[in-house]
Amino acid sequence: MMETGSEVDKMKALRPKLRIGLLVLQILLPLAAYYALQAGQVGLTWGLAVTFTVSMVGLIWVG
Amino acid sequence: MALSLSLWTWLLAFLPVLVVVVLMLVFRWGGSRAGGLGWFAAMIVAVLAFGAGFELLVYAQVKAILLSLDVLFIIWTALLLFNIAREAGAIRMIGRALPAMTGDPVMQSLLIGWLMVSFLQGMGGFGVPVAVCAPLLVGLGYSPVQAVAMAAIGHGWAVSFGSLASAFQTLMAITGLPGAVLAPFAALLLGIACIPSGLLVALIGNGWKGLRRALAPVAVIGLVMGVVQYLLATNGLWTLGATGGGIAGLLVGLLWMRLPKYRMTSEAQNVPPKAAEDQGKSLWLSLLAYGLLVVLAFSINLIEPVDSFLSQVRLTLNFPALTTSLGWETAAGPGRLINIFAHPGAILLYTCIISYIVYRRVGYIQKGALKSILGRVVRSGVNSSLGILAMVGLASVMLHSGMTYLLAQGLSAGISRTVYPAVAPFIGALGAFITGSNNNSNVLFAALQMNAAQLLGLSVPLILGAQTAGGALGSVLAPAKVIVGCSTVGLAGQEGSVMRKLLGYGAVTIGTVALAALLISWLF
Repeated sequence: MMETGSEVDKMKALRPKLRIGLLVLQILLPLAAYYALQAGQVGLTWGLAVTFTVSMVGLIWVG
Repeated sequence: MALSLSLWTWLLAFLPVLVVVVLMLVFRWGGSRAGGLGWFAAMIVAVLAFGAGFELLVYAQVKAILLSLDVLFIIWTALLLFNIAREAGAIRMIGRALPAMTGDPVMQSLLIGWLMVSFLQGMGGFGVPVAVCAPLLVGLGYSPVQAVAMAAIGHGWAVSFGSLASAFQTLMAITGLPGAVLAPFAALLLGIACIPSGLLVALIGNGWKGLRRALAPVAVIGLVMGVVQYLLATNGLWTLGATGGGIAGLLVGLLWMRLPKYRMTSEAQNVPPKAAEDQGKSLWLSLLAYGLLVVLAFSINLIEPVDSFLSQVRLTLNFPALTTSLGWETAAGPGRLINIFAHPGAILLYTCIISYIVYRRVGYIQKGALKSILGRVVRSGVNSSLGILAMVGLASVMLHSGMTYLLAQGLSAGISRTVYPAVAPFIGALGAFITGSNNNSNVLFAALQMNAAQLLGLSVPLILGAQTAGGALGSVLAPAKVIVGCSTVGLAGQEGSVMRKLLGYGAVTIGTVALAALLISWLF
């Protein structure tokens, strides 16, 4: 039980940092995808798009 | 047209909005989580039903980032300025000084619950007016429920041009229409809403007798605030619309209290004591940040050479024409243009830097306080930013896949041209109630309202003015904002009783705007 409580506390402390990370990702990834698409790098664009989608899942999880 | 209109296709297009509504209202999710899931719903519907391809979705998301950055620049710097001023004691000292100027309970309630909340909405917003003023009203003897209701209703009219007009900036960004076109009707409708807002504050706080006593001051001060906001907004200074209106209202309110009938002796026990950290501080010097902002904003916007010099660096990205597999087209062109050094956010940043240096030199802000200021800014800013990014992304996907147009087509087919101007403010209010902000309501519904107005042959600026005015008045009723207000007066967990009270009063202010929009539509 103690460990569970400690994990919850750790998670609570981690959330603000995760949110900041998500914010940075959600701004930079689409911009990177724009330049990748403009350069004709379709594979790279797909990679960035998938990462962005994962970050959106992270946003729903973190809240 | 991408998809033909039917109940089924309309419901599909409405699904992302419905997801956000249900998650926020029923499951009480925050804006960022609900927006995230709404974004997934929009993507799935856009791909499976509206024929959106990979390239379209990527570009739609990039456009959403540009729109978001334009608004986030203001939000973050406005939060920074507010926290610098708060650290210097400005907010505490205003809260102490205002009620000391009159012993008349009606004027006290108007000063804090209508004028000061409006001024704070102009400068800060983001729930700050209720959070700051509700406890002050409790200190004046009002019940916590009354205090939250008064502070919330009192500042609704100032939301669109408040927070340095971030919601209005969004309206421009989403619709692509210039501020000069959008400002007149938006400012007119919000100015009209200013009067019932003041009267309701008097009614909530002091009953029908208080309402009768407030009629004359509310009419005069409300007219002044509405006119000042209108003049600023329609002359390119929309970022200062609510601030200017709030300042003018406070000045006229202070003059009004010199009238013998309203002066009355101040009751010493009603005046909160000066905080220990504010001893020896001057009220006027602590307000330097806001004074400086007004001077800088006026200077940069009105002095042509300064504006031209600062407007040399503009950021934007160019986008190709985009088409869904069903034939819905978005023309090629640049995305949102961000004027980095003359942007309202930049003006706020200059103000922050100068104010912080002055406050440090005169000892109003202690060494090491910057870390706690920045901490508060990040805590408030990150959550709202994530919500905005998700909601703008959702709206952009809906817009580029033709879903917004289909929704508008359904509304225009289902609601007659005569009635629509009265419905538009309620759509804006619904968006704000769902998402917790006027800004997000404009993101979700501005394009839809614009399309509906075009399809019905109505004045687009009028309908968009009704959208943002409804959004402003609806945002103060939103669960997200009520929760913030309740938490500051010990009402945590009792938000339901405050919301029930607020919804009735909100119906009056939104109804007033609806009626005004309807009457104006007969003329234009």
